[in-house]
Amino acid sequence: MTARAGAGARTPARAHFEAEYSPLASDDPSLGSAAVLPWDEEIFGFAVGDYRPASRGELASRTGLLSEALANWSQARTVELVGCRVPASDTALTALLESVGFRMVELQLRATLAPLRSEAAAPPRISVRTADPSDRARILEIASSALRMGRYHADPRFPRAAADHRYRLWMQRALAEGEGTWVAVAGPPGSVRGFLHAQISGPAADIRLAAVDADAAGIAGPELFRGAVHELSRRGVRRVTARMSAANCSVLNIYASLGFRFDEPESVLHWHSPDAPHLVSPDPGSPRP
Amino acid sequence: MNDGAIVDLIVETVEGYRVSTGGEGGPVARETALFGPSGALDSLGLVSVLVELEQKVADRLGRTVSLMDDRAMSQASSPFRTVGSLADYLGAQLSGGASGR
Repeated sequence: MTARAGAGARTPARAHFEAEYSPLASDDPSLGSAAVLPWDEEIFGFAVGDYRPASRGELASRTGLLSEALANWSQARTVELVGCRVPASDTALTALLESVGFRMVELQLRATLAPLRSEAAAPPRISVRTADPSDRARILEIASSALRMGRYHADPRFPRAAADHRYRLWMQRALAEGEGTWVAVAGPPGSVRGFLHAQISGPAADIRLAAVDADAAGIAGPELFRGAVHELSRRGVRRVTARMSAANCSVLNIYASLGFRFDEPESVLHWHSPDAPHLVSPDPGSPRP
Repeated sequence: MNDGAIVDLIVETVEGYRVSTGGEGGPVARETALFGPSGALDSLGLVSVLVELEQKVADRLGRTVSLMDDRAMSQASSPFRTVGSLADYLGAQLSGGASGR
């Protein structure tokens, strides 16, 4: 599955890569704020931005200014892609953003299991264990090939190879991190079929990324999540969250089977710089490289 | 239990799962893909079918088999690809003298 468990799509180790937001237009803070995402820039070799829009009311009569400010901000920073998240219920704001060139690429949901009780998940029937150094190569192999969800994979103008590379580096970083980062694998040593990356902070855990080898036995996905929840409960975690694509029905059903509930639907939109050299043709008939 | 009977048991279980979940699909046979892009089941459905299958083997044969464990994960090729590959895997466990009850 990407199974294919492209669970969350947030950046690991936020503390080390916190984006610094500033007004999109220095002379007009009411248009919203934006930041270059350091982590994604480091991975892709070109700059990626994130836009936090002002309210619909602030923007409604000023789409021309917003469009100009977006282009100027991106050009000044050689940003090729700008992402934006808005509540899914605010379809008017989404439409406004689409009028200045954003395109919706994904609908995301938050999954929450709280309170996590010890009986919430039975022990898995396959090995689900903390990754050790011998699992590293297999984890990176799965990370760079098995994920098909997440906003970069969902964007038809974003190169698939770059999106795959991002997840490989994501897991490289996660495996190198220390306290608070947990990487679990499904399968015995030598037969790892999937992995799960979570950040643990006291009684709370956030599942950031999970993937299962597409060719692996189909039971690996459900057992990986069951095993992870079981282990988190054993470690004293009482609240587990994750963000995922609403299109990832396979993972949604697994979370639902474990008792997770869903909220905070968000539309994820991308804006592309008109002359972005790294992005692929928007021709829908062309296969993505 | 011969191969034909094992296949029949799997087909019965998959079709029963489909009925219980309101799922649709064509006839289930030995070559039917169980899991994957063109498979009859999603991952949760596969788990449900395997659990049901283990229970049926216990009820009808008095034998305990474990279809979902690290042995399955360690196979070079997944035993859950098709009805036939699952039948082979279950048949091997039954002929291998899995612990009885």
